[in-house]
Amino acid sequence: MSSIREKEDLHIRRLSETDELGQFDYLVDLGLSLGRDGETEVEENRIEGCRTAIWLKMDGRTVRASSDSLVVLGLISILKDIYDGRSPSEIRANPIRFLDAISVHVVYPEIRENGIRRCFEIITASKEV
Amino acid sequence: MRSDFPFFRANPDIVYLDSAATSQKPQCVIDSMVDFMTKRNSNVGRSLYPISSEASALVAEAREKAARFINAKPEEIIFTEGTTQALNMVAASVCGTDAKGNIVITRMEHSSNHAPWLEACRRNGIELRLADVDADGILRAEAVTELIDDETIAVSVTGMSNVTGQVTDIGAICSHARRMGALSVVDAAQLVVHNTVDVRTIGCDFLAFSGHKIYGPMGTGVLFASGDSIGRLKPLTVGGGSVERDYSPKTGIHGFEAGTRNIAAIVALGQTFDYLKSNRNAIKNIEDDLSGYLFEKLSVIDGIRMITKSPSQICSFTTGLLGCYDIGAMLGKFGICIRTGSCCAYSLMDALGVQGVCRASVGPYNTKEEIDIFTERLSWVLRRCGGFR
Repeated sequence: MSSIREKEDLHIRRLSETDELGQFDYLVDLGLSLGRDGETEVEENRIEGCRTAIWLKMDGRTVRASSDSLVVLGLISILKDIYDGRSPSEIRANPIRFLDAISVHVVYPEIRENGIRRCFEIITASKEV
Repeated sequence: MRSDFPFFRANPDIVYLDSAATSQKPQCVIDSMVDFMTKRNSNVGRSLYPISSEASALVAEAREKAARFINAKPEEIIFTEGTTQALNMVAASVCGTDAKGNIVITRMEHSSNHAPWLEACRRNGIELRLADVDADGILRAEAVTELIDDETIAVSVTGMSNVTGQVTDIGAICSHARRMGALSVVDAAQLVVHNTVDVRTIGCDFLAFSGHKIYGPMGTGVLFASGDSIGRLKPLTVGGGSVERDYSPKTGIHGFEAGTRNIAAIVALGQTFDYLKSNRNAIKNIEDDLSGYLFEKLSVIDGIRMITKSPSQICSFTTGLLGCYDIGAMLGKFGICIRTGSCCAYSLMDALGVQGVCRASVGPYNTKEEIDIFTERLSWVLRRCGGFR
């Protein structure tokens, strides 16, 4: 299995090779492929303080998350691709880097700070299994 | 009229359809602020030298203009920092520790007319009643009036939804409240810029609005407190200019304007009322025309669910495919400015069964060409993302 770093590098390369519209396309495409996870869309899984709805919970070593935004679903898809099946300690040792490859006009600062970084905190706060 | 607003000369490529969030400012309002700060800057109500007296007179003049704007008396006009502060003051005052009974608000309220009541009711053990909207998100006056009983302390209702654009029947609600012995409060933040407001005809006890939504400066607002009801208000802040020698609050409006206000902005707000008075009919004609056009153009786009049900200056919608964040961010990339998200109306979002909406809102500086650019680009975004399926 590829390492977290290798998998994330692949996404970073694809995001870096394109312009803002291409980044939208990339994330929307990933979001459409992933689809919404209706079962996680309950209040207790909701991440507060975000401009778009994000729900997230850990199911063992699997990230289960949903959003009403396809762009955000695309980000969740990347999170799942790089972190699913990994231990919390492995994930903590590999904090998110791919956001730096995305324009702030595609993923606004509030989505980064209150949304995706908060997702990372929840993922890494889960128990070792 | 667009040429009155220098924002559009500075940003020729921007399509600004977010006037419900804040309006752009005409040159005369900007000039008024600059003129005060350049030539007349001095504090008011404190000193006797000529420019201070002149500044005091300008504030008094602004107060008179605000009063005329809504058919009130100057002694019923309190300058605030905006609608939120005004509604907090009213809620905290009427839900005091000695208050007993219930408060009636609606699901259509902006957080600024929901959170202050929720907080004041929680603190003082008062029941908060929420009037529902129907399946289309429309608020009927009866949904509000049937919640009012002889224990109702106050009813607080928006005059115009910041999401659907619906103008509520505040006259019917306020007159029912009065018959039942309850105070009536109107959040007029969206209403006053598009409609002529007469507090005597409405019959409300309190009415609040913000300067920045009516082409005036940010950080300014007006709270109308009727002569009969001003005695029910308690100041949120006390200090310089608002207390007597024994530190008791001054009676009347001056007891509610503690400290040094943003005088330049208040003077410019006075200029804003002049601008609105001179252009009221022209603004109405342009906005009516644009509202109908916007509604018509949005309604025919495939994949759009209209949240707004009839033409309005505020037009909200959702899309089946993309979330509102996606739409807002993609349109923003092309210089198109609309509001996306909950619009600070969480209770209404729940009632509508959505996480958020896309909201386009027009002002007199907009054009049909801009609406064409917006709707064409929106269609393009929806087609583009639909193509991934």
